[in-house]
Amino acid sequence: MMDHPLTRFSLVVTGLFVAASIGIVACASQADDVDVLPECAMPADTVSAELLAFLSMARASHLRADLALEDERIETAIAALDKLVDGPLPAGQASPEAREVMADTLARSAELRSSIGRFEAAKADVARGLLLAAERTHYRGRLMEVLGAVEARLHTSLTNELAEQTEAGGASAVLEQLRGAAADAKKRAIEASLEAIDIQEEVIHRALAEDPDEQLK
Amino acid sequence: MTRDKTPKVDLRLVKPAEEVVPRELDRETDALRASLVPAELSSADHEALLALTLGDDVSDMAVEERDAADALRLALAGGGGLAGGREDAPMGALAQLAGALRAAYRGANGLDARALSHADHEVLIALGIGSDVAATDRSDVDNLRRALAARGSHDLADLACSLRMAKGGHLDERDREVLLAMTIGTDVAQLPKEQPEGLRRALEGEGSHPLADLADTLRATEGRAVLSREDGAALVAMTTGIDEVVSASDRDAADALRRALEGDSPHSLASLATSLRAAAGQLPDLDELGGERILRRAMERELSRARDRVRPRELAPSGRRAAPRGALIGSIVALAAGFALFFGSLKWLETQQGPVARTTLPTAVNAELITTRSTTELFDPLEKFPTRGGESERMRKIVASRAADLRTNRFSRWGIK
Repeated sequence: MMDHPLTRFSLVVTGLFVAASIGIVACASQADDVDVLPECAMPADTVSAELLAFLSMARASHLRADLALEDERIETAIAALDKLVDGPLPAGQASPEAREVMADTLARSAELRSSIGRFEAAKADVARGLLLAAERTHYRGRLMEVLGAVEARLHTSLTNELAEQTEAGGASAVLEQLRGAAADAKKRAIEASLEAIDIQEEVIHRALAEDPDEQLK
Repeated sequence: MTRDKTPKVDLRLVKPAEEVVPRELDRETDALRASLVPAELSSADHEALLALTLGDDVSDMAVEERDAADALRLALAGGGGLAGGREDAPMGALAQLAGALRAAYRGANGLDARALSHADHEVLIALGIGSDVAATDRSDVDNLRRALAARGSHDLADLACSLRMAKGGHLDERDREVLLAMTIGTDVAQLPKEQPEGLRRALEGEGSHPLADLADTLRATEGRAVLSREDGAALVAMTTGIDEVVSASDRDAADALRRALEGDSPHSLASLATSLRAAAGQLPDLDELGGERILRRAMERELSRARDRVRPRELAPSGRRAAPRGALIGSIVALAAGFALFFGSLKWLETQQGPVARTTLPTAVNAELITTRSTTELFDPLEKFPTRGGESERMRKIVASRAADLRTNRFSRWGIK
């Protein structure tokens, strides 16, 4: 019976009509309660829920660091920040917001590490942050300012050690080495601070050029 | 031959609405009827006809019978000729009957000739010679015996009398044994030779016997008919008019065939017997057209059955099987239901959404989505970031800004401006 051409044609046409009807009803029902434009259909550079989740996590990490610092638990604060900067990026992409937030977080992490004498790790954080904040913005300016602060602390640390070695009658070579390293740290601190000032001035000038109202202030 | 009983007409094979083209059969049917007057058929004709009907080769018959058989064979092949050299027997009609018997017999449920019981033989022979089958009833045995004693009448009386006259009116037990041996194909030489009687001596050339000719005929067909002992006994009983050798079971088989002919029960040989009757003019209530129809059906049955075996189901001209009418109607109904469902869903969609909803359907093109960008716009460019602290406040601003952007994007995706 199924082999007859008319029967087979009728069954095929009927199946197509039934499928089309089901599709129409299903699409009409779907439009009532879900996003009509799926997430997958959105452009990759739009503000998405994943980006907001990452930013929210960054805020929570800094809040945790704040709480830890209130109790003077610097290591705990650093660990909270490291969890953010070492974690995954939203949707695997480094959007401007994500890069800037990570750069700011690395600057804070570097500042905290330098405060406990971990100068090399602090400078590594700064170097990593500078790669993320390539544009001359306040984020890069802050990184350079933190780098200057790190070098200044290093200078202070070396100067203190030099004094201790001198007072202890240390070897002249060691004293000379410490004196040289302290001078280099001071030099780098000054250069980083000057770079930070240049960036901040550049940002200010750019903002003033773009906004005439700011120029009147 | 007398016919006291009017045979019942088997009209099961006759369909009034059936189209028949009788012209081709008119002449042959008339010739058949003319040739099938029992008195005009000799025993040799019967033998040859029976052998041909059963598909046996008659080439080993006696010279006289062989000539008759050859003539019949030639006639069957379309060459004409005369049966047994007799000028008064239309050979074409006899050949036609033999062909009809063959075709009908082969078509009778695919039975092989060897499957015929002696009771069937008995009934068929009776039909073939124009006798009423009802005469084979056991109750008629006494009537036949009385008829042979000139104290009554019987359908087979004439035939029996002819046979008795041919055999000289006497057949002793030894002669019957020899006759039976020859009938069933047993070599007469293997029979006990004590007290050799007339028939054996005649067969051995030491004398004469009234049944010598019949014995020669049987000997000529020895081994060809492949008759069982019971078959041979029935045949001898028919030939000699002695029915005691016919067993009760044989009679039962004959009764079954007779009942089938009367329409009371089915039988594999019923159609053949009906064809025989019709061909022999034994159905007086059957008109000429019906008789021709039966004969035609009997002749074409084998061909139609062979066609059915090759093509068990009816096929359309294109080679596909023709669809039943119910399937076509069901297909049309299903098609109509599909149409109704499709257009009904379109109408439902219009009532559910309306024209407004259709215009608010968003697309990726018309949705204005906010993209990711630098967060520096959130902070006063004239105030630098402090070296220490302030990160949480910056994070709060960034999150608040991008959360608003995300809500805006969602509204855009929903088509709300």
